[in-house]
Amino acid sequence: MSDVYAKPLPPIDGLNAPFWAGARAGKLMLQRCLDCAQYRFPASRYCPSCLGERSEWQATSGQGMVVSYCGFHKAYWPSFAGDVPYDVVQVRLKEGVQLFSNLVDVPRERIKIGMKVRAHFDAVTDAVTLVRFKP
Amino acid sequence: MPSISNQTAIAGIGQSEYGRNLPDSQLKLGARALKAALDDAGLQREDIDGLSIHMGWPLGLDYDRVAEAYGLNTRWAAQTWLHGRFVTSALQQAAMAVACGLANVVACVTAISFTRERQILGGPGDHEGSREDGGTHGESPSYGLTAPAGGAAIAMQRYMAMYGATSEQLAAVPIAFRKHALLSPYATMKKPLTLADHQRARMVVDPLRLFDCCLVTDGAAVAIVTTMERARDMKKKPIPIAGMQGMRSGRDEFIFAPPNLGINQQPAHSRRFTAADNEVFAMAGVGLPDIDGLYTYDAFSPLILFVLERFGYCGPGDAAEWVQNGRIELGGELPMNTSGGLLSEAHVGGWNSILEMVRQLRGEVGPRQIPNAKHLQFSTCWGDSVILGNAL
Repeated sequence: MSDVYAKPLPPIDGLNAPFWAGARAGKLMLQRCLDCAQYRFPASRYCPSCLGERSEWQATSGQGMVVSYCGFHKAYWPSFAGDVPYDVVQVRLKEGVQLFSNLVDVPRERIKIGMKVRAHFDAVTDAVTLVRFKP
Repeated sequence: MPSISNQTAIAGIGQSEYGRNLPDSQLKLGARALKAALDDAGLQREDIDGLSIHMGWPLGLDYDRVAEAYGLNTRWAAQTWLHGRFVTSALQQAAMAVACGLANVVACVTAISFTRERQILGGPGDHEGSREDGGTHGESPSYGLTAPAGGAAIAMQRYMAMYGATSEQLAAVPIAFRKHALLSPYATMKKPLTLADHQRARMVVDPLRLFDCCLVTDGAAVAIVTTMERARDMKKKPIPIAGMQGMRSGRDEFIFAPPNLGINQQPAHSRRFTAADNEVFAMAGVGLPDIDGLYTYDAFSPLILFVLERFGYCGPGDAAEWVQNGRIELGGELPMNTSGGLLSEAHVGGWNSILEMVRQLRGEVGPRQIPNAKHLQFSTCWGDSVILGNAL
């Protein structure tokens, strides 16, 4: 943790707050429709599958699979300048939703599409824990 | 319901100079392009009674300021913001407005000063990419997915893994467009590009190298749209809008990927597209073999592969091989972006390619002329399209 974290932080609002509170508690929380049981991401007030308005937040397995990745060699934000080149991955969770994130401690040459990963909770500030992944 | 096919036409075109760090403002470049387009059509400013602008916040001015600044009095306006998605959208709205009688003569105006405002193309100034932590191209800044190039790169990486496509194959796209740019008097890039140059160039967002990413330039372009009937009385040969279709949206779509590649929330499954999936062909009364040239919004070179598959020119996973051996070059089976596109001519929001299509169909482009061009198509990998015809 650091009070000089200069990278962009996710906007946490009333809708997605349970996701980020879950991350701080070491849980990958997803919103699930109480009418059709579909998980969804990002958070929304109604279900994109059935338009149902009732939902609950559930702790999930945190398990997923790498769907794709890319490697940033250019720092579009000055705060990433010390990190380039760094990789961004897209992970498909067992529950079906997909997230953009990063892998922890995996060099680029070992990233493979289809590799199984699990959530890793990275407290980057006192208030925000990012959801990254490990093999 | 009568078809809009061939009821409207592009009657005049004009542009400013294109280039990096131009001293003139966006509005001044636009004024120069408007004046040139009016001259081209043989019209006066008073004849313009509609505006369809492809600019606006965060990269420019709104329709009312444009009308006021150019001394126009218009009775219809449409506005998209300056985003690649909206090229044919702005053109189609103009066509629909004149076909429905809401305006007689619509000026489609795009004016860009990207080199003055490059900080908004990814990074802290990119409000579009930061909204709700999820931008149009998948931007997710807290995880470092901080620019549109990232969305195109993550789609290309998956495409490469699925189909075995390579960076060397992808290079055929910028190499082809550079050859075309060398024949365009308006082009920013003036030197040939080789495979070795492409492979030696720095990575921007792996697997996209420098020459897979478009130029950042300034410039303005104007196209004047009116009814076919009225266009026949103007100075230049009218170029009819033969067919059009809107952009696709929904969960199967991600802007920088073919449908269902599996990017962002797209469900992944392979799907072969045909001309029948794209109503633009039926509206224009043509098939794939009738298209003499294809134009697209080439912000990043993978988008060329994706549009070819989406419109049925080749099957899923085939495009990287399909574009080899000069097939998309002038003289090839399907020349694409024949003035160099965003990759090598200039980034004028894609409108430099619309102007090029009009010039091609008029037979005005000399060394880069597609012989006997009768139908040219502008399409994007997110699904919108316009087919322009040849009135002869």
